Amino acid sequence: MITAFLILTYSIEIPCIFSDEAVNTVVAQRAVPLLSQEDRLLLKQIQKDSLEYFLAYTNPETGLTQDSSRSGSPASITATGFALASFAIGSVNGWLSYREAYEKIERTLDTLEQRTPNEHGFFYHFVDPKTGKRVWNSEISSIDTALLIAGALLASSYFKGTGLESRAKRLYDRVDWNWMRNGSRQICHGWKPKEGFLPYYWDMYSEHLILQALALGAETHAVPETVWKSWERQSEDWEGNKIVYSYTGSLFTYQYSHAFIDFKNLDDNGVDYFKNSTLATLANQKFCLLNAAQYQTYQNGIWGLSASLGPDGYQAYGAEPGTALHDGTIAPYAAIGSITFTPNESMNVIRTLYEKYGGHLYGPYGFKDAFNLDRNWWADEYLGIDQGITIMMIENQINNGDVWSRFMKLSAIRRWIERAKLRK
Amino acid sequence: MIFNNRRKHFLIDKSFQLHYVIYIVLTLAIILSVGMVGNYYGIWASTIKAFSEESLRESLITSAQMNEYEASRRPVSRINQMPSLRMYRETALLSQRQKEIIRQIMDDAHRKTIALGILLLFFIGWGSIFLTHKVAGPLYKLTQYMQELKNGDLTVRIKFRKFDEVRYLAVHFNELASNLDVSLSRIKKILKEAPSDSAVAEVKKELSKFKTSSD
Repeated sequence: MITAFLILTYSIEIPCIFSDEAVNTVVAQRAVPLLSQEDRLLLKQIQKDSLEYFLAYTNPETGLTQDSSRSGSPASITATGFALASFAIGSVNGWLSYREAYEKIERTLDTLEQRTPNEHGFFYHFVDPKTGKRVWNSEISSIDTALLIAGALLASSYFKGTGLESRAKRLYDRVDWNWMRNGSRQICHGWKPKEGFLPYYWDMYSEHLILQALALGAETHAVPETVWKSWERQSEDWEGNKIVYSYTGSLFTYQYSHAFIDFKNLDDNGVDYFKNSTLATLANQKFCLLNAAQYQTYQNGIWGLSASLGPDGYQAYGAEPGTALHDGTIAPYAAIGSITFTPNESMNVIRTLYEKYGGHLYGPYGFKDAFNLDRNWWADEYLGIDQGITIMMIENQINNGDVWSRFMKLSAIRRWIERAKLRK
Repeated sequence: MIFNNRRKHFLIDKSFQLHYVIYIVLTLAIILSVGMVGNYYGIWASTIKAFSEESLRESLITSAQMNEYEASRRPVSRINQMPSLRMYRETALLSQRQKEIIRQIMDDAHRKTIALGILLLFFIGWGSIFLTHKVAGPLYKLTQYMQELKNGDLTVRIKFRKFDEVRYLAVHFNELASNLDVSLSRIKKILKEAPSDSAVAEVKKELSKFKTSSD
């Protein structure tokens, strides 16, 4: 039934993989990259251009990266974490020399060690790119610190035997993950100097798996194993398969942790998160397809609902399962960030976006953040986190999971796998 | 007792002292002007830039975006979606940001003032050495020549630089040295050339020019 529906409504030729019986085997088959040489070249170009964002919008003195290309944008520690990873990736791809990449990463680590304020090792989400001081009343953020630390650990793994490794490790070791629990079973979203801990905890599936991995795998201040078990695996049936879903159904929640961690050989009490993200991506694709009559943007096989800028500001766009907030806005990074889960489907969207809408949507730093044909709205800016996930996921796809293999070798990750009992 | 040695006349060498008053006042005036004007315009330039139409527009957009970022991570409730509450949050964020900007401008101003102060202290130090050298140099030279005089060399004569202070001391010193030189030269000449009976009278006559503690 599903296959028939797709063949009728979807203009791109799709292999017969959506039959109800075949759904369970779909995921494993999709892991095999089926990209042509042209596709690989296009992905390389997107990856290289996206790296230009980090070269242009990382402060040369502090090494802190702007959240957005918009003038006056603060630096974001998440974007900075992605920048660290991107510089290292740029170096192995030959776009930056070993020395250039090393010096850039070193400069950022200098700032994080000496200039940027921290609380129990956690950093403020938004800081001044010139001084590293807290701005916009931002919170000490658990997930953003985790993504920064993950970026630093990954970047340092490209420079084995140098001082970067021990410095990234020191940054990691000083984070008091237990403090962020605020005495509760789960990890809190954040903390503010005047208000104290925020009233939100990482209590259901989302991008926080990377935070969990680092908090459980830490040599110092590791959280108890019960923290891993305490968050709710809320699931919904989709096409005969269960998807452990995030609240918003935004694709980035299924991608961020996966940019670093290879979940393919991990099993969380029957849940394979790689397969889960693949299914969530397919659900996102189908959701757009089902709404294509209502929204012009979703036509021509375009999909990719994820948190992004939109005509009414930044929104956590998403699909079902989840709250499925959508208004016809598509973020190109959403399909690119899922390329390891759905190489063919993602590539189809990337090609269409590049060829059909590239004039509006593609610039010197790769794809701009989002667009909405129904409102004739085109983002005029790039977001650091979106360029970052683009670079990392493409690297995993076209360089044989190089990021994954480096990150999975970290002792912290091995410890997390042991403590959370994730071995298959 | 304390007041026994107090100064009765402050301007004992008007020209010399006024000269120095002008030097010092002018130097400090320049320093103060640079510091104050620099600081004033520095603060204003930063403030005008920070609150320019373009910056305010950017701040408004960022404020909305920051609020949206925060909201996108939280479970959505109807209250969160209320436009008035959203506007209130954005305004509060903007106000917070403006405080941060003002604090940043003041921090910058303080940092620049300290840097300028250190630079000016360096210039004042260097200027002081230059100015005091005009006095200390001649005094040092005078001391050295006095030492030579004490050692018996009456041929020494001082020559100060054109803009050295207390240049007049050279005239007096040179006159003193010259007088002593002439007198002692005469005595030496008398003792060498005159017959011994008249020499004593001649020497006595020459020595009578000097008033000594033995008189």
